Amino acid sequence: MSASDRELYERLHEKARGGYAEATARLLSVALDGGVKSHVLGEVLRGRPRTAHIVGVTGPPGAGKSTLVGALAHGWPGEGRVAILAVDPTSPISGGSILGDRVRMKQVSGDNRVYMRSVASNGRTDGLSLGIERATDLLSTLDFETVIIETVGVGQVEIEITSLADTTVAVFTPGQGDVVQAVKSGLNEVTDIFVVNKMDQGGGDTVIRDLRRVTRAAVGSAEEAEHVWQRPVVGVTATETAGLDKVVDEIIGHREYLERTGEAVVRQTNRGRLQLESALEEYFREAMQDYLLSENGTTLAHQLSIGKLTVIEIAEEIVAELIRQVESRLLASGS
Amino acid sequence: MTATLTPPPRIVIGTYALDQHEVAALMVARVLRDAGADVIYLGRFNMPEHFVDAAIQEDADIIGVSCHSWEYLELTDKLLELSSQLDRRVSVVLGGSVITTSDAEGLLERGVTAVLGPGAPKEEVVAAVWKAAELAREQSIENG
Repeated sequence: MSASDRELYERLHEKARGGYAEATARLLSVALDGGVKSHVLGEVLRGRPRTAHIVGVTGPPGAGKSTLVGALAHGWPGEGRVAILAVDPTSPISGGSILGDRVRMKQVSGDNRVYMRSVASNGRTDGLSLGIERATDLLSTLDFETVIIETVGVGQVEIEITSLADTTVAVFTPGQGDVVQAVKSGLNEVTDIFVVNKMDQGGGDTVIRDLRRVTRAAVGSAEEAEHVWQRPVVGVTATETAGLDKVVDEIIGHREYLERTGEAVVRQTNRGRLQLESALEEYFREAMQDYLLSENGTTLAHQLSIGKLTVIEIAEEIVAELIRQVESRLLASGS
Repeated sequence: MTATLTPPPRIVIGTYALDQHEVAALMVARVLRDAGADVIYLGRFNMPEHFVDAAIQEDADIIGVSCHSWEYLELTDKLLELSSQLDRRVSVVLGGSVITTSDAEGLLERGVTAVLGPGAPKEEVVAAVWKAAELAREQSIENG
């Protein structure tokens, strides 16, 4: 099976690189759905150059992320192609999702330079989705100049996107509380570019001023300034496309900064680390869930609950078993 | 839910052109989400090429159009034509208050996979969508 799958994926990859959206879509499904087929795809991607610049766009719900992302992609300068992965939440009850980002991105329909895919978070709670690392890796081999990943609307602690992206853009709006909120947020510390959207609604200047105050980096000499990224704060009104040129300039400027300082390699490695972490988590989580529901697991859980055994005693036994199970699963899925 | 399908159906849902009646589309989207489907919601103002473009990029199994105005009479042939040109099979499902019985017969003959009337209970909607997704996957040729 995997030999013919492999040939199919090779062919689709060739077509997708030429800008054929249907091939891109099919390959993305393979990457996102996971399982054995995604391992075969991984083989197909081996050794191919990863050339795309990965941009993460995050921020609270209702900040206008989708509108901003759609407008950025549609207005992206030059001839390069742009891909969008827009993550929306999955219902924890039914496992189904309503993915509504396309409603805010009408302009990308019919724009052959832009590929847009809605992605269900599928039980993940960090603003990203299961399989998004594989999907990002795939897109980075398909000759897209830029890949924009829009997270689920997040709060103050979901910062995984910064491990996935080369450049992280955080979107804020007026009326979301004072500067203390921005300082508290873990997101603030790892954001590369701040965007204040809905500037037409008033109060935006205050947000910009406050953000500038807390984000400015202390720089000594001019030589040192070369190696410090002064995180910009840009005001926009995404629905009117006002200020978007400036956001694009800053993203491109940040890409140049990463390449100039060697930081690009660090970020790329972070991405690899996240992909590895997610893959390992996936393997162990599956094995763990199976074990915990097994007869043995149930007996141990009961003994813990009545105080007969301690967590450490049980863990020693389970960890060895989990490793054996994960090993056999990996062997089974090797091509 | 009627049948298990892994991964669950992916369906693009919206209304045609100037049909402003969006509530039913949103309701059906919720019913399908609650049954476990992934619904890619397009909202209003969609021409056939918008539906098909979205279905291509989203690797969707189904295009679902909520019809509460006359547009379906004019636009469905184009939608069927465009969706039949794809490498993978995409089922077209229509639903709505204005589709008459004789219209429904004609639509089914011309290649629409299912037509749902205004009184269709949730179970019927879910069953039709799962079946349409299954059909789309069975008939999709694995060609590059």
